[in-house]
Amino acid sequence: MKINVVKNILDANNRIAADNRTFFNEKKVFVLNLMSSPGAGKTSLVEKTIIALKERYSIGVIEGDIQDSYDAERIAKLNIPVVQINTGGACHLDGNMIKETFPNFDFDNLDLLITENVGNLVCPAEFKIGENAKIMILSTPEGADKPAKYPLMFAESAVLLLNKMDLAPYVDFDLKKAHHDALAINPKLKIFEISCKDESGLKHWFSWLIKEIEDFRQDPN
Amino acid sequence: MHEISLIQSLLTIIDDHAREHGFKKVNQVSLSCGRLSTVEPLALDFAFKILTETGICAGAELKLDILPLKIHCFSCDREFESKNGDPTTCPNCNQDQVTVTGGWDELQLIEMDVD
Repeated sequence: MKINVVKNILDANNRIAADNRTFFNEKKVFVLNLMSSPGAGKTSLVEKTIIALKERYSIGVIEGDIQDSYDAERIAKLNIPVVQINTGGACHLDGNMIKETFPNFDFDNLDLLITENVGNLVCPAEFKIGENAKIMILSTPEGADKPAKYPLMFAESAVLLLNKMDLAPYVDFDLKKAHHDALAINPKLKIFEISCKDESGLKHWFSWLIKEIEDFRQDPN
Repeated sequence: MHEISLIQSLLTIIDDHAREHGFKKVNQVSLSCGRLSTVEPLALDFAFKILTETGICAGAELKLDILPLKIHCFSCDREFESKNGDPTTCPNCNQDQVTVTGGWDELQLIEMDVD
């Protein structure tokens, strides 16, 4: 007997992510889902963002890694509540993993939750976690061909941070191609050129983030 | 790499349907996914095999239909199927005034053959 179903396979995750979103709206917590390949500078960006915004907002961090707590220890040094998720082999964070961290945070006194996904340009793009915005980093040594090779993450993200701009001249990064291909995939994508090392361009990222958080607090739904 | 998560999610959906419709055995499961959905067919097959060694889907066949990448080109003002999987250029005129209309991140359970 044939049964027609036509159901999105990721429905279960999408439902949990939607529940997380409702919860974050109630608590007025703005949530970022930060994605990139390993070594693009996610943890450095989280550190810089915390240092720049921690007087203004109360910030929490979720660190997703396959194993180890090295990143969480880096963040904890900044006196910020941080939860390490060790996925034990899974290549992405999903809605349920985020939900399981809830008892570790005081959401009534939290404004911004930064979630650092597992370093991977492929899988995290498919799993919603209840975020307000997906942010991705592409670092210049990775090459400007990445939007064309890994289009889904570029299509899903609200912001693309081109990191390690200080290295661009040494690694022959084709800046024009990176902008062109990323915008061809996602015309709404905001692109900021930054360097977490020399801090260039970071102020534009901070301004974008502050505006988004303020707009969200005015109207969380 | 996330194919195991996808199959776990699929098996939850199948279990829900089995409870609802009262079937006891699944013979075949048909899925469709977009060309650019980052699903790796061999890994998906492997995950399905190891996660269905027991249970209602034991011995079932997994069919995967890959939906071609479709692109609407604003310069040509019509839709094309992209053979090379590039979502940023029109396969006809090579311009970049395009939008993807299918074969993207769709990932669906379409039908099942059950007893």
